[in-house]
Amino acid sequence: MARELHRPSSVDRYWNRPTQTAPREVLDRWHLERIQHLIGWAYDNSPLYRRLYDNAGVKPSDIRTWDDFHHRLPFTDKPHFLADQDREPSGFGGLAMAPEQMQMYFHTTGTTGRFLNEGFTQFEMQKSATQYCYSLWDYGIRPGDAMYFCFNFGMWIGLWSIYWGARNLNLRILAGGGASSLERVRHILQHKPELVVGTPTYLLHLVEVARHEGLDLRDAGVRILMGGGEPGLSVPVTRQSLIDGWGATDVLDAYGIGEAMHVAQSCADWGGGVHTIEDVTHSYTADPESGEPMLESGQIGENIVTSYTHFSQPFIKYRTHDLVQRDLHPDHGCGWTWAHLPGVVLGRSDFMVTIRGTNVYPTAVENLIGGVTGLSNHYELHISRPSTFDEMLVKVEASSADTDHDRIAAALDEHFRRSLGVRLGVEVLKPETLPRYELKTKRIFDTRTAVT
Amino acid sequence: MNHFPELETTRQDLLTLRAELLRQRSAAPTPGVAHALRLADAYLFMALGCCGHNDTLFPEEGDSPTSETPFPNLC
Repeated sequence: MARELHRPSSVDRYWNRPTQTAPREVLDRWHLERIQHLIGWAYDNSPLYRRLYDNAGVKPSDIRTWDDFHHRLPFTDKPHFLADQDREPSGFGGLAMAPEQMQMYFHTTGTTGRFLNEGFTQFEMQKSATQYCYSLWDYGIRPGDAMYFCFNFGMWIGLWSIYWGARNLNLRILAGGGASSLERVRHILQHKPELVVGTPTYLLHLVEVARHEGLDLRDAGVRILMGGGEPGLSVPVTRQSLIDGWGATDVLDAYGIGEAMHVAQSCADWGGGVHTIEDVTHSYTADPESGEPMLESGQIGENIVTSYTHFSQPFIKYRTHDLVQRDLHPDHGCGWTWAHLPGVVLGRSDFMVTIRGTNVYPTAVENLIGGVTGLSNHYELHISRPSTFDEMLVKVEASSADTDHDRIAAALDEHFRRSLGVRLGVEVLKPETLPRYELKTKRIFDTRTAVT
Repeated sequence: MNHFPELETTRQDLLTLRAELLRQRSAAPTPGVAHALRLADAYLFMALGCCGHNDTLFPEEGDSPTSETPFPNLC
């Protein structure tokens, strides 16, 4: 079983209480001032931003109010940076500092087809990583606790930023790179870290690997499981499966936009999602079609972010194409006043399937799978267009071999129909049928472009 | 202007500390000293960020590529 968790008192649970609990009006005034400063920096130092703003007929001094920011300042989007990186000899788009001043290079995961190159200075690596400290501290993780990474480190920034976050918090770092899954299970049982980092799918896979070998990960006494990169850690059924399989006390979810180093994380009182870390990022919601701001709590729209950790390659009013629901006045007991995103990422504004006239976001389907008991976190969505219309087949593994597949399939089918307003194809598979992945799990198979 | 008044005294003290740190760094007798002070400045700047400091966004913001001789005492 997990060792006793250090539960911070209400006083010492905050990494930076004055800003973390500041009233919304104070935070907004501070954000506007910082954004104005950042726009001036980008205009003076980044040829990309100068072109964008000149083309829009706007100067930094024109941005005096939120209305100016929302309506006069142009959005930035990934294609702006990709076009610029094709043009620039450095291979980086939007730079405001010389490439020689960078400490590390990364690129995005390429899930939208192209890698966007990212460069970070030494300060930016340190500063970006502080985003993790707010949540880890709130969950009771303290200097001297150990964090185990279930990954090989590569060009994706996500893992590196968590690593730097662990260094910032002076945690003991145990790297599982280059090890097999079974070796990682043995590492964890031997070193008994307080915290293990992995995708939800992979963390559940390790439970299976351990059981195959007659081992029990609950013997490691891991307190906190942490990760992100795919839905699951804010889905109640998956959270419970992880807690049961690991004997852990709690689960920490994280949502990140690598290029902008925008990270949002759950608090220890878990309100069903994640808080944006407003000391280092600004974000708001916009209508993905019109671009108009959606400033009322509860509206679902596109997450637009501005990074306060990335100055050598600024990302200002950047379109993430992630659909979120923003609560500007969260009240689930934690005391954080920073905006909360229940359900984390609800879909992608640029990836939607129309099934019998109903718009369906694959991410929404992923989140719904976790709402039916008897299913595992291992699933695939197969999107096809056999004739005129799109179809989606959901293949999902049962959680155990003795599950009644027909009953579970009927329950999932009804859950989709009620939640989405449309029926999807459902196929319940035996456990351990689908492939396992270490990093972002490949779950969506879209063959529509192959059909003419 | 600082929007978090409870942090203002700390912010002012840190700015005083930073001015002295930058002075020491500009007069650093060796690359080793200069580099360590550059790292110290990065950490100090993170503390300023926690205090809501908006006057400068990051340590290198005021630097211009030609304004600083890295190790004047070695020249």
